[in-house]
Amino acid sequence: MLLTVKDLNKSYRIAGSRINIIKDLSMEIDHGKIVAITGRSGCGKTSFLNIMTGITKPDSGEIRFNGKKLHLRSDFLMSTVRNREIGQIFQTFRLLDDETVMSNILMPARIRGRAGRKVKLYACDILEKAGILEYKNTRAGLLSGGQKQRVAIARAMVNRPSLILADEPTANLDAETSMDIFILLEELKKEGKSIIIVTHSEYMLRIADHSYKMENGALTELSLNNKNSKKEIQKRKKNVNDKYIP
Amino acid sequence: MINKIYLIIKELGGGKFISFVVFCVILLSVVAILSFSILSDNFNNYINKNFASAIPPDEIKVKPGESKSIFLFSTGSGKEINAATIKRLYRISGVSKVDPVMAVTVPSSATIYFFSFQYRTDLICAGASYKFVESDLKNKEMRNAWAKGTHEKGIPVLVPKALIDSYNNGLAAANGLPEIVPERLSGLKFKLSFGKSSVASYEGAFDSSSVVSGYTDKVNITGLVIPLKAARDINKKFGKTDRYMFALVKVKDHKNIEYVKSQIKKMGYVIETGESLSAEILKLKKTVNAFILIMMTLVSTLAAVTVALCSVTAVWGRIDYYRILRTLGASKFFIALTILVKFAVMGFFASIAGIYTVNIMKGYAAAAVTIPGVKLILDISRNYMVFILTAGTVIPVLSSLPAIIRMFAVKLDKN
Repeated sequence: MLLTVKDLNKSYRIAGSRINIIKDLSMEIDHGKIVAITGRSGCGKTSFLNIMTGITKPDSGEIRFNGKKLHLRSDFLMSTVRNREIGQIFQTFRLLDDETVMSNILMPARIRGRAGRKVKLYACDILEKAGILEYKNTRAGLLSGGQKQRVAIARAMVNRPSLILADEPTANLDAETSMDIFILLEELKKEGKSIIIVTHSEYMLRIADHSYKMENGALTELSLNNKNSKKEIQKRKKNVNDKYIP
Repeated sequence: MINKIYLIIKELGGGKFISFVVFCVILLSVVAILSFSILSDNFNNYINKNFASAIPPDEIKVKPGESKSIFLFSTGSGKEINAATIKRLYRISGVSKVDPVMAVTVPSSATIYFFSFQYRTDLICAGASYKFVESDLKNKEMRNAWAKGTHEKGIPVLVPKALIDSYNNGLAAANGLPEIVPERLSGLKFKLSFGKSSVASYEGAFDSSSVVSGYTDKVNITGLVIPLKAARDINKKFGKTDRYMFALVKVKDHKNIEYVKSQIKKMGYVIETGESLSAEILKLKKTVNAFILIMMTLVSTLAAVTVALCSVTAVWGRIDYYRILRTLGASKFFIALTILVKFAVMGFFASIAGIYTVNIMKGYAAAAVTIPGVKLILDISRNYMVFILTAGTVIPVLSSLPAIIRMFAVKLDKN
């Protein structure tokens, strides 16, 4: 099992009273699986992802990543895990707009201390797969929303993590671009990456291996028919291949 | 490692306007502090040169006990200051330092050659330690010579200011001779004879060449000051025991001075303190120095506060960048390190720029400011420069800490 979360709790003090945002949450994710989480705004989805990355400390509970306890690690060690094992994709892209696409993608590798020739070649490979290789020397701030999200996905991939956390990656994108992003994420799954995606897209919820709804700080598994969606994906994939692969 | 250095360099280039403001603040502060320091040095120098008899308020001049002979001349029955006395002075509670000035107890004379003119005179010599007269020695060469006790041109000597004044105001004026400019004395060579004077001659008398290393107002005798080591060697050569003309005793603080004075008096020695000589001058000196110190502290504090405020703006202005670094796996320690290195580098280079600016300004100041009878000292000592560079580097680093701590506490990991 790649990630195991057991009895996770997190509360915040808001306006003098303590609000439990995550209550006894447990879940598991295996290698090469997609887990989609949906829920109302403010229900704790982003807090859950932040706990996974070690940015936020849980009040109680256990998180095991590849069998190692994450919740007991220091900030320094947790940062190392976040850098090497976890790739993150955000709704707002979180790119360095004044930097080039390549510089953005290499940033996690630089933090790791390995941004040599091999990594640069790998970054070009990811950019090619994401269909934005031609923009590698373009400033990130000049790209469209869809292109920015592709850069963010490429950046999340550069240190070859085993887990990708995507926080509403298509919330700022149109339907067609969102579909391109979903297809890219499914490609990552085929490469053996596990993905936890927070999304409101019914389409993504259908294609995920496990879909959950977050309510009152706990996860409830959704049961969705994904037959139609798979057909749609095949159709979209063909279009994407026509567009980006020479 | 190269990648980490790349990120640190990238941080240096971030927030250029605020960095420029911080740079200017540190540069101006360094210029102001150095200017105050130079002003303070010159003021103290002026006071010391023009009120030579003034002894600092925390120092006591200990002189041999007075002779109680009923005749006009005595054979030195007053209590003398010797090595044992110096040890006893050190042992008095509250004493921090003792600077003894040794008497050369053999007849001595000096012969000066000036073109075809030759002038020989009997004189007395006194030995002073390097630490005691260090600030009066003209240059590094003379300082090294004094520390060793000898110079390649002979024995290094310091000419007391009192001797120059008595020549200029007495002998020169009365006989129509040119006056001596103290600052030009250094390097003058002449011959010293030990064991031989117009009155007495000892067996083993010898001549030695000597060179003037500067002038001093710390030993006001009508004779010459030579290195303590040289004085000791000469006394030893003629079988004389070490005897001191006087010793300056420095006390730890003003509270101890009365106690130390009473202890020395009990030992049977004569004491002299600054208060009795020129209390008003010392008070003025103390006030001006305190004012300058306050100004320097104020400038440093204002610089630290300004840098602290600038660092808050700089850190807050780049919070999105730090958040991105954080999500990509940078630890809080690494982020803090990049910010601290940025402020340290800025502080270091701003301090260098400040020192460089003062060095340029010195030339203009020397040309523009001319006060009769005052020689401006515009040199910044190496130690003070190191101090300024260290402070200029450390203060911005410390000033940026509150902003970093605040960022970590409330801002960095909030999404």
